[in-house]
Amino acid sequence: MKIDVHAHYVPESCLHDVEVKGTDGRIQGLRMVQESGRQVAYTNNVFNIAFDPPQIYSIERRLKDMEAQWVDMQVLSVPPFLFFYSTSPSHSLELCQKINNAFADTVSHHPKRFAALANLPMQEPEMAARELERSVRELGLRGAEIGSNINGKNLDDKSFAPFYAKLHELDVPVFIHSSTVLGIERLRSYHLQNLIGNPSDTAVAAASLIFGGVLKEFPRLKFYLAHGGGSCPYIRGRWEHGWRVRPEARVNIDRPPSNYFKLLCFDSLVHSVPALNFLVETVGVGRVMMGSDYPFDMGDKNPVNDIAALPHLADDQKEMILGGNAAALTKRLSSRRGDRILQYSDDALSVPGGPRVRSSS
Amino acid sequence: MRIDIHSHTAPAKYIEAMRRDPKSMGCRFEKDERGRQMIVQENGRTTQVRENLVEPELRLKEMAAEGVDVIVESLLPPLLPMWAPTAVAVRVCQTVNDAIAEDALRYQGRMVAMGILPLQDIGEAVRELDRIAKQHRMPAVLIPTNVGGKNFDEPEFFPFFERAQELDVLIFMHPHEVAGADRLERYWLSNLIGNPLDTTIAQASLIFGGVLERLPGLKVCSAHAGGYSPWIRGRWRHGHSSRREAQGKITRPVYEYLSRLYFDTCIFDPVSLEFLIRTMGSDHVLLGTDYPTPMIDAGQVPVITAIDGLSAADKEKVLGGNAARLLGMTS
Repeated sequence: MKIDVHAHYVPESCLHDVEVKGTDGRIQGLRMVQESGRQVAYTNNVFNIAFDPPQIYSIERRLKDMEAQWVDMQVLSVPPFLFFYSTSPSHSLELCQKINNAFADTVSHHPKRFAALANLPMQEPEMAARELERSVRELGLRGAEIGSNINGKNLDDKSFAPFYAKLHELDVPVFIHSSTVLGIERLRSYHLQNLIGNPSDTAVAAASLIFGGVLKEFPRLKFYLAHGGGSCPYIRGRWEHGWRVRPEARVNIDRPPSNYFKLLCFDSLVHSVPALNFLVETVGVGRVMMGSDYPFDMGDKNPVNDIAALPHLADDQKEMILGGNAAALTKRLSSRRGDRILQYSDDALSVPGGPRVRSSS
Repeated sequence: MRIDIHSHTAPAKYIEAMRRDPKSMGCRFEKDERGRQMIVQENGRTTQVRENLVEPELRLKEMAAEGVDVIVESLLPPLLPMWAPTAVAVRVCQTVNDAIAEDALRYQGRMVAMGILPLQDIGEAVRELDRIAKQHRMPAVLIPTNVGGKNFDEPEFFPFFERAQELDVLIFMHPHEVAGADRLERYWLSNLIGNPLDTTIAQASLIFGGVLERLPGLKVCSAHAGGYSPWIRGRWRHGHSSRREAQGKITRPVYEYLSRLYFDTCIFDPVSLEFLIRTMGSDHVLLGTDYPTPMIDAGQVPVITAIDGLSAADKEKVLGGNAARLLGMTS
């Protein structure tokens, strides 16, 4: 089964509710309007042509696109402009509940084609923990998606402890997606806020979980990072060396960062065959899952083909990336729902680093 | 011949100058309570000065133990006077450049000088570049990855790049005062993430901003294996082909400009290093250690020598051939 773990969705039933004014007075979210006889989208109050509007909400269109891409199942998550972290917590909770309910509804109509991740009011971690529990236990959602930072707070902030404790208890994965990236004042041209900001903010999220001691405290938490982990796979040696030589890097962890880095999972969205080979070699084939960023223009329109075409992997390794690794997470989650206990093999995820493959030429 | 392109110093004559007249140099030399020698700049930054940052003989000896024959000497970047008033910055740059040039002359064949420039004033920077090229025949300069938070696609910097191309001087870009520092305060992330981030921004600015398009002969080498541009270049290519904003001021595919750049090997991970060499080509990667800082990537010569599937000739290019060519040395 081919599973796309990075696919964004806004339920059609929510379209009229997902544009709000934040506590900072700024318009955020999504607005669909008719202009010159066609539907166009505004995200965070800015005209956005990064996707064809029906693709974000139409299930019919989505199923057709999945068919064309050879994707069997999408793990649905909201696009980051629907995070609502700078909305009042109560309003954000209301919106998240509505979205999560609608996600569950979509999944119930197409249980073989979709799974879904909860959207959470992370600015209020205890509230987020409660909504996560409701989404998983009552709605059957498979985990959550969160931003790579929450209103500028890194993910090691102490305030997130109740959320991590709940994740640990529920044993569900979290998809970390870049949003409101660091260094924005230096990234205003050439789409660099995406081309550099996204990979960098994802690295900050990973470093916060590692150096901040979150993964030390909760080693069973399953985080998977968008865009191949951003910049961190390439620079992890610098982290390792920095930990050895600088006391600041050791304040929370007395084992090297590689010890925690190996607990992270990654989507495959790196737009380059050599880079994807490098990712697999670096983190292990058991930790990479196909992700397309559907339906955005910065996504991969042929995620299955691109993985199937990888020159240095055996077929069974490709199957792990295409769906096997994601299925292991999915089954893990199913077992948490109700009283049903599912047996599953977690081998792929429990082998540190997973099988190694060589890249050459 | 093994050449280390990334080696930092605080030359003795520069320290002498700040001892003699701290005010004009914007910094002073002092001992702290534990007897450690420090340079304290007027912007509040304190830098410890160990013997191997200053003494050429010791530096050559330590690097010889690393298997390095030639070290390319540049000022330790935290000491760059980018914060200072122009007059102070000019004086510091002249002093440092003369001091490094003198060491390089004394240890000819074992040391090469890399200058610094007062980039907060482009007129002065070009003047100093002309001076060190003419007076010292200096083949390279170290520049920070931004100047006061300004990226290198700002038109004000163009005359500097243009002159560097005319003089055929190698530019070594090194991170300094990095972007996003407010999010990188803990765990030394300002270095562990901020440094690669800023270096990546600097390259993107040269590429998307059209500087490399206008100056096809410009020679630029980035520190720390390019930050992470070699790894995320697929995202850049995809963005450039699918987003109008990412068209920048360029007419050719992103990879064409990226492939003109050079990278040092300071990446602390043999898998990343192999990826770098295979991705950017063995003609574009230069041995660089970051000696003598705590972030030195030591023991690289045997690591590079041991890379499977890289020919002996390619290894020699990475270890020194490329640097010799870019620095105009006869190897």
